[in-house]
Amino acid sequence: MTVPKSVVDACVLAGRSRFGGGAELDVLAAEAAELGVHALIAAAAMPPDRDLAAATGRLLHAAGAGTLPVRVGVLARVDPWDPGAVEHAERAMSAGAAGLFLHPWEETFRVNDHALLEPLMRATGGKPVVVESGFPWLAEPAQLADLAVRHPGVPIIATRGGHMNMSGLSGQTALRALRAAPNLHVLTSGVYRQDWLDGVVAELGAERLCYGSLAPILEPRMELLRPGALPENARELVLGGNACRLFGLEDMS
Amino acid sequence: MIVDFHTHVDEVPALGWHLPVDAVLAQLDEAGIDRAVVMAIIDAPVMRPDALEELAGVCASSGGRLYGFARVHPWYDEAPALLEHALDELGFRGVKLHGVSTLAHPGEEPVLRLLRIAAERSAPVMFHSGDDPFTTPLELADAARAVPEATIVLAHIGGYAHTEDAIAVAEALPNVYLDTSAMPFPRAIGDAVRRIGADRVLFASDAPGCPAPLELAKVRLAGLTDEQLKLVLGGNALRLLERGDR
Repeated sequence: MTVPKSVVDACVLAGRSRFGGGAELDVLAAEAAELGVHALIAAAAMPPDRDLAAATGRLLHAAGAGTLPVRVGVLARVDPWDPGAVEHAERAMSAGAAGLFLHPWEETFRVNDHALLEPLMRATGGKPVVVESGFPWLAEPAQLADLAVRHPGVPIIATRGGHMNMSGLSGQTALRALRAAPNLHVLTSGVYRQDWLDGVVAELGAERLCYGSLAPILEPRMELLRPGALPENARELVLGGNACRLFGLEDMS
Repeated sequence: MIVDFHTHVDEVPALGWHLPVDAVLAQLDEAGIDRAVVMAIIDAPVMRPDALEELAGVCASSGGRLYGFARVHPWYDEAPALLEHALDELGFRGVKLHGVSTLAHPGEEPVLRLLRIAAERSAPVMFHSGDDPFTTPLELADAARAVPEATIVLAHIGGYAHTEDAIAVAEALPNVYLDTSAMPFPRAIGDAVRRIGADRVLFASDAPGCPAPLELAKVRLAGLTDEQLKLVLGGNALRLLERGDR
C-alpha cells in the first residue's frame, strides 16, 4: 500500500456536547497525529450553553494559535433558526472558516428547507457545507440531493455516506443522490457496507468520497479502515486529496 | 477458533447486491476466521423456491466451514413446514428473520410459531435488529418474551440508533444474544460485554458487504480482555451451533 501524501480527517466534532460526552480539540488533534492524520476539519459540538458563535470562535482561535500537532480547519456551525445565523456565518468566513457545518438533527430543520437555508447558502461564498446526514425526515439522501441541486456552486459534503440504514434501504437513494448532484460528496464514516463505497468509486469516481471520522461520536481507528479498504488507486484521494481540494488546503506532503 | 456469526450468500440484482460464496470465503481467509454462519437475503419461498436447497448445497460444499441459517417468510402457510425441512433435513443450524424484508411483526403468531419450531431443535433465531419498524430491539423483545425457550440473537446490536435499547433488552432477557456486525461503534461492544457478560455477545461481520477483516478489527478495538475475546470471537458461537446449548 502506498502512503498517502496527505491524510485529512474531514469532520470531527470538538468540545463538550450538551447531549453528553465530547472531546476537546487538543485531544482530537493529538489522537489524529498519533494515527498519522495531517489535518483535521473541525466543527463545534453543540455546547451546553448553545452559543455556537462563541464555540466556533474558540475553535478558530485554537486553530490559529499554531500549537496543535496537526493542522486544523474550522467549520462554522450555524443554527439556521438563529436570527443571527447569517451574520455569524459571514463573520466566521471572514475569520478564516473553511466552510459551514449544519446539523439538521440537533438543530431540527429539514436540510432542504430552502426558504430557511437560502440566505446561509449565499453566505458561504462557495465554500463547502458539511451536513450531518442520514437522519430520518431531516437529512435523508434525497433531501441532500434537493439541497445540492439547488446550489450547484456550493460543495455539499454529507457525513455517513449521506445515509444511515442498516437494512440497506437507503443505499440506492444515496447513490441516486450522488448521480443527480455532482457537487454532492460524502464522508466514508459509519457507512453500512463497504461495497456501497466501492460502488461509488466504480461508478462515479473516487473524487466523491472523503475520509471523515466524526470523532468522537465514531471511532477514528475504526473509520480509517474504511478508506484503507478501498481500491488502492482511490485511497489517496479519499484519505486526503479530495479534502485538500474541497477545503482549499495545501498539500501537506 | 474464530467464528463469524453473520454472513450472506445471495444474488439480488434489484438491490445491486452481489454476494457470492467465494467472496465470503476469501474474506474469512484474509481475516483468519475459521468458520461462519451464512444466510441468504431472500426469504423462502419468495423469488426462488429452491433457495434453501441452494444454500444447503453451499454449506455442504464448505467442508464444515459454513453453518446455514434458514430465512423463511413468516406470512406463508408453508413457512413452518419449510423451516422444519430446513432444520431437520437440509442441515440448517439456525433461523434468520428480517422484519423489513418480510413485514412480519416479531411479536405476532406467524413469527412465534417459527420460534417454537427452532426452540424445539435448540436452533438459534437471529433477527435483524436496527432502526426500522419491526426490527427495533423493544419490538424484538416481544418475541423473546413470548418464547423464552428460544435463543434469540439481535443482529447489529440495534443498528445505528438502538444500541442502548438492544443492550437493555439483553440485560432484561437471558435468552437474548447480541451480534456485533455492521454497526460502527466499538464501544457498544465493550458496553454490551460489561453489562450482559461476554458469554452472550457474538462476533459477526455481515460479510461480504461489510468486510470481515474490518469487522474483526472493530471487535478488537472494543477493549475486551483475552478471555472475553475468546468467548466473543468463537466460544459462544460454537456453544450455540455445535452443542445447541445456550
